[in-house]
Amino acid sequence: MAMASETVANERMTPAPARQRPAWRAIYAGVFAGDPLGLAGVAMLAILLTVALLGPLLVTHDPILTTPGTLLPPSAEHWFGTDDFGRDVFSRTLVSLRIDFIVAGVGVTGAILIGSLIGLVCGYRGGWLDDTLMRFVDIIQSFPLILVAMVLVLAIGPSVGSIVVVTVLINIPLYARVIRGQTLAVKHLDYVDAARCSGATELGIMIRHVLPNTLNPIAIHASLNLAAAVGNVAVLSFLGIGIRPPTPDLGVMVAEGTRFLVQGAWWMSLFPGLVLSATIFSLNLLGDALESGLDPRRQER
Amino acid sequence: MRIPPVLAYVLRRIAISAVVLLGISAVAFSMAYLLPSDPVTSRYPDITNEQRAEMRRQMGLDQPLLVQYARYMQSVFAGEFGRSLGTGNSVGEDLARRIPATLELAVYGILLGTALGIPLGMVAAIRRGRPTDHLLRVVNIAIQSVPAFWLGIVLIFVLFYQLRWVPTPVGRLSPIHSPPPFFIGFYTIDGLVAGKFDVALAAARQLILPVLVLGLGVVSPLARITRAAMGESLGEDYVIFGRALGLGERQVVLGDAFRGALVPIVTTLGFVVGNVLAGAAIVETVFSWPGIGRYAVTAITTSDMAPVSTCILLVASGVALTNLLVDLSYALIDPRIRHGYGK
Repeated sequence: MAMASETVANERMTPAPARQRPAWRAIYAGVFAGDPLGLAGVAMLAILLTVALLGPLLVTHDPILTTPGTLLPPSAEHWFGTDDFGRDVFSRTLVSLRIDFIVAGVGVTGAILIGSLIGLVCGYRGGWLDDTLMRFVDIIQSFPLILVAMVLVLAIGPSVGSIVVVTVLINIPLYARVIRGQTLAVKHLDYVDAARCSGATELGIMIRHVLPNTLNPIAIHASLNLAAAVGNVAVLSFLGIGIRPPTPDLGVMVAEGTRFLVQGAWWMSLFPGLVLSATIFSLNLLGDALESGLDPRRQER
Repeated sequence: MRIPPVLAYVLRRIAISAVVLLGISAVAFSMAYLLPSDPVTSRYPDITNEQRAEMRRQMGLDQPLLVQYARYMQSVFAGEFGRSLGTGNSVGEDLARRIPATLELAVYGILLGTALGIPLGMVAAIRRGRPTDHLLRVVNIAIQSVPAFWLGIVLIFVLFYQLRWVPTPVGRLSPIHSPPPFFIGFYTIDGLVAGKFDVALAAARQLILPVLVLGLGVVSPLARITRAAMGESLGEDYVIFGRALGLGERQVVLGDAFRGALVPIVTTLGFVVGNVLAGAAIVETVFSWPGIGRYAVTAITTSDMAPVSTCILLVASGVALTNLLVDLSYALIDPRIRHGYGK
């Protein structure tokens, strides 16, 4: 009897997450050490993020200042050329990247927070709440998300804020589902029972013992999802819904450029699209590296 | 009379799909209802308040949501699917004209994507961990990362404006040709059937770029799942056994390992169909393709409720139908499932 209570006490002093933390760091280090491609993705992403953050300091011209020099091809003065209003495409691209990162980043973070909460509660509690919410998630996931996003943005009223809100909304089901599955997988493990025996509250168990075990799948999905979100934000503005001119946005810039292709002004669409592709590419590389490094089923191969 | 279990399963699946579709129609309609719902003012900005109230009453826009939904469903079962304010036609008529355009694009796109994606995944699985595998991985991620709308524009600029290798991107057929008589609605096939080879060729040339852009979107998920599933099945006992029997590598890889990997591949193919239908909205917009994608985008941006809810319902039904077919095909593909041994 004394021994049993001692074991429980030990369990309490060294909860699962605390023991795992250093190991995680090693795993993440391992993911990238053996994977030059993943590392390349991280490096690319770091550069793009830095450029986006420092955007206002790095611009060579005022991104919304119109000048008489319209539709100038790329030159030493204007690296990416100028658009139909004589605005500097390079400076506009930098500022756009910043806005798109913020919109997609805030949107995905919001979806992770809300979706994880729903998934955690559903998976842990089960019952009618779980059934109802998961059927709802099923229905939402069979919808064409891009059309739904368009409808929702217009319903709220097109603005940067509504794109963030819609990004949150359409991505909640993904996280709810992933976290629910992960919660179901760990909630009957011995260490959770041990924590319960030692008097941990249900809330405490969820936060300290179940949640940490969902971090790997969240990391994998978040990077892939962020890539998709950056693409979706650009698609929405390309279709003329959401971020609207004159606010610079990569999708808007590509769309504006299409009208001047006939005059041979390829730079207006090409460069913003290249930066957009590079951003999505780096996030996908990162997600792929995390997936092959962190997923235990893949690790053994 | 005893109903055979397979038939019972099929019937149950169809019944469930029907219920899900009803739910989808309700959500789709409520969504369309959310649109800044003054289609009258946005179309006729100069009318008086009385005229507007009168028009809204005529269109039934003054009724509560449930009544409007009931009316809409009545119209759905009559095959009308409501009336489009933009075109003035019933949505059913509009769709009948546009569905073949989208289907022709989607079918060729999925065929192209499958023809590229599955072999790429196979090669990666066979060369797992070697340079070829790593190269294919980067290529895959790159294909997945290029936004379709931008790729379409770049291709139009290079291949049309600069090189003139493809015809003007004006939709399914340039105005100098008249569409071939209806056979299945695909201009390429209708043209061949009617013996109008020039029309079929012209239609095929219009299809090149949009099919390429739509098809590339399919490559990466298929290659990814093929690599994973083949990687697993190549290590199975039956593959080792086949090799031990002295079967050729061709037979072992294509006949046995691929067959063993088919269930997850078909599952992904089902999921890909949904992506293609949604991706059609973008590709059709870029290439002025007169299909349901562009119809939906126009309807959404002009708050045209009936077409919006019908298009969402249509795509969701397409996804539900595909999932049903995918589930049913499992029994065909995998004898373990057919005989109830489960997986």
